[in-house]
Amino acid sequence: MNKDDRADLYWLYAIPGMGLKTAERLLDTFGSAAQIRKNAKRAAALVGGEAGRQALLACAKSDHAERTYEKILARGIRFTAFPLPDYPEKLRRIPDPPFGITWMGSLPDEHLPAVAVVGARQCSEYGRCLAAHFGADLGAAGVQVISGMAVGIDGIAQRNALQAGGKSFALLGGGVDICYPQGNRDLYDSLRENGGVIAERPPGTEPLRQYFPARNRLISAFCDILLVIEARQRSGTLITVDMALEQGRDVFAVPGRVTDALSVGCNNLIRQGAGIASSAEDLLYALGMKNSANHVEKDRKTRSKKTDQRRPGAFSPGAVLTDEEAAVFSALDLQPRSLDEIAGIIAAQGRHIPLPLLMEHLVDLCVKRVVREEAGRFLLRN
Amino acid sequence: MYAAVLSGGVRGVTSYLMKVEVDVSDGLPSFVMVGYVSGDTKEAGERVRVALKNAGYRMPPARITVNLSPAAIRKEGVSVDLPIAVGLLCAMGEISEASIRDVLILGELGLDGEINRIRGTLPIVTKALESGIRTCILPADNADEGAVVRGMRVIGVHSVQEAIAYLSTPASDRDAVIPPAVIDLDALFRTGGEMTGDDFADINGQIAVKRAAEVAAAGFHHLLLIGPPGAGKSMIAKRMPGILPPLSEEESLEVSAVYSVSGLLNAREALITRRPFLSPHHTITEAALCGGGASPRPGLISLAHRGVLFLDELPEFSRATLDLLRQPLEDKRVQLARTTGSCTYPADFQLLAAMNPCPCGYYPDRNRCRCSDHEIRKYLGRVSGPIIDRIDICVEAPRLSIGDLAQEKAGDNESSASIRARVLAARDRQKKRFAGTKLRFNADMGPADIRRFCPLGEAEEQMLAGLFRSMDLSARAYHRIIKVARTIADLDGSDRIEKRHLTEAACYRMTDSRYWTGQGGAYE
Repeated sequence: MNKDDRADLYWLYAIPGMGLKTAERLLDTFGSAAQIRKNAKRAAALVGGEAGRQALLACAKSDHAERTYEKILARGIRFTAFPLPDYPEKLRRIPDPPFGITWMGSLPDEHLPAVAVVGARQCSEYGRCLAAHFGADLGAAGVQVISGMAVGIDGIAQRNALQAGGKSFALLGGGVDICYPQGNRDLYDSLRENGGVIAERPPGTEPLRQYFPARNRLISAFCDILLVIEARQRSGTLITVDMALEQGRDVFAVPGRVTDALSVGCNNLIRQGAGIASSAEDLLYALGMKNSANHVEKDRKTRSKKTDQRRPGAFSPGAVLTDEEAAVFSALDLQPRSLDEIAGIIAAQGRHIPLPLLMEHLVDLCVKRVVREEAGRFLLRN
Repeated sequence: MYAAVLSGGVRGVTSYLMKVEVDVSDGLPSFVMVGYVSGDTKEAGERVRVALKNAGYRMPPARITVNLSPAAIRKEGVSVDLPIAVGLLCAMGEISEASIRDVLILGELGLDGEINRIRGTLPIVTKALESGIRTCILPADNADEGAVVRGMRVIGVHSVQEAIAYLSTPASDRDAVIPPAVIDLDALFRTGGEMTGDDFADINGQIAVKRAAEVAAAGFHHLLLIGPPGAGKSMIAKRMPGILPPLSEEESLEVSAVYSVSGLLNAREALITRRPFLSPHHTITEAALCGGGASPRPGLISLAHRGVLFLDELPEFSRATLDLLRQPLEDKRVQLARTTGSCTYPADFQLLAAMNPCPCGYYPDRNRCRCSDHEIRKYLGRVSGPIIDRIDICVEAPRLSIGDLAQEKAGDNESSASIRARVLAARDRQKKRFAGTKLRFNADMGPADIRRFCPLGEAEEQMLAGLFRSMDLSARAYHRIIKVARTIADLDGSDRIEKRHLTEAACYRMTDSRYWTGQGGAYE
């Protein structure tokens, strides 16, 4: 262990383009980050690439390392680097660990189970609903939910995990102090309180699209299981899957209908051997948090009654709805359907409900919070 | 020698009468026009001189002064050629002063003495009748248009010679020279009331949109159709005029006045008897849409007065152009101010708009649509909230399946005629309800009118409150739902607004609540 000060390591970390390999080479040669800085010209010669050399020389001249480090500390940003003892073990063991990371809030507890939930940004209602369920159930079970804070599946899962009282952690593509996407500002704030936001790039880095594939390897690095909810055939999510497999993490996917473009990626993963996640219990079982007998038992008996009660479409219509309302209800699905489609389905069942009456029933169902409307179409609320 | 001829002009769609004074006196030969005359009007002198020469009259080598009175109003257009010529002949003693007394004369001259059609005949003749004038001489092409005004003796003339011949004949024999134009208004309205070629029976499926179109037609509500490409939005829009109630005579005169000042009435069509249907391309400029020019001409919104303005691909219109619609949508008229004076055109049109739900057009079908929420919001954001706010009915036109398109059972689709019959019945109920007020349709009601004409029962009130809570509807949506529910109740033949009317009206608001409030899904 060298005597390097955290502040000096931070200086090294904050040099644009500094990766683990270069940093280690420099540290091996000069012994400490402070020495690298003092011998910037010689150090620069060891850096591959003109841009990297210039960056190092520029940083050597600039502000005093302590001051910059103090500045980020004052903003609530924490930092650790590969040579330091508090560097997360899970990261240390992946093939391509980052030299340093910064975070706000805290880092995931490595003794607690963690599941990464990822998926499409433009997800369907089905994905939205399942992301919410998985997020909430995992959060409630004390599993840390790791994701990328993106719109769609990522954000929904994290938000619901937090709401269920769980912890959640987001890996960001840019600097840890930049909330991206802007629309998830509320999530960003609550993550810092009940979990953390983590970034490989130094604070202030703009979230450019080329940073995101590298970010994805950290999502899988922090988790024990990677869960994919909705991915198209060619999806950025599949990069995360590749990383997870390379890092030896288990991959689970939520199956979908074969006709849904958003489920093709997941179904392909299952074909290739990914685990099937039909509920959070499948994951808890894989994590060893539920014993198998219990799990199978649930599958057979309780599950169909208890768990499924909360599942979409499992609402028992007979009790609350009139005969006609029930007919309307049965024509609905998790996929949004237009009035024409609903009327068509009802007609196919041999019933005729005039349009104004159909609208009345649908609005009633909306008021009863059984059905939801989206863009003029109706779908079941979970 | 002095003579005065009665003529008229238009400013906007308001017209005024004008006295054309001609004086021929000794002095150096010259032709001077005064009276706040614009460039195009000033050219009249040359035309009059040559036309009279070619008609066989020589202008005296004298000092000729023409004054257009009142001199405070700027004169534009070419309709004073003939009055000047007649005034000149009168001053020269060719025509007796008595023969032109209380006769309104309008017309543009050609160099050969031919008289060409002019703009603005209808409003000027109407104004003349109000001022007690009973005879007018118009270009033959405008005679039918003038004859529409009941109680006016309209003489259509083809050339200056004809005009002179007519005026030179003693009053009792004049009808033999040129008989007054007559027009059968009832026949005009009969043909105008007939259905156009496009029929709702041609449209398979789309039950929700057809119903929304019926409600919109019955209450003159603005309507927005949202749907993917190929859903038939334009097809439905084109059939809209076919289910609207026919133009009343009063409405027809209002509309025709706008067309008259635009020069869009042709010789065969003396009066606009069908509701206008205009669908400008989205590249339309601000001036073309709302009216403009140094001397403002009516824009398409005024030509669509009492009719339908169909804006296809709404977000493709420039935002500035669309935002211009805000004031006319509220005031139902457009005021164009220029340094030379301002003029007002009517613009009480039914806005019919169609658009895709997202840039690719397939949202919310996630199998086909890959637009991000941000892209969708940006796309919808091109249409400003205040415009959407003024649209009462918003409905989704889903993409049809092959089965729907191939359906050939003609009896299944209702025809425009039977839809129109219901619309007319609902229209009658509105007419009775609003008797004695300025209101014409349910869509015209303001908040105070809604309180007066649309009382809700306690149960309905509670239902509506529940609806608001569960659907996150805006307060602005409240009045619109009641207005539309009133129309639905009218279609239903009900005096009371009942729950089913409110729920249906609510359905027409729901679409836009998701599209425009910017809220995410239920889990976010």
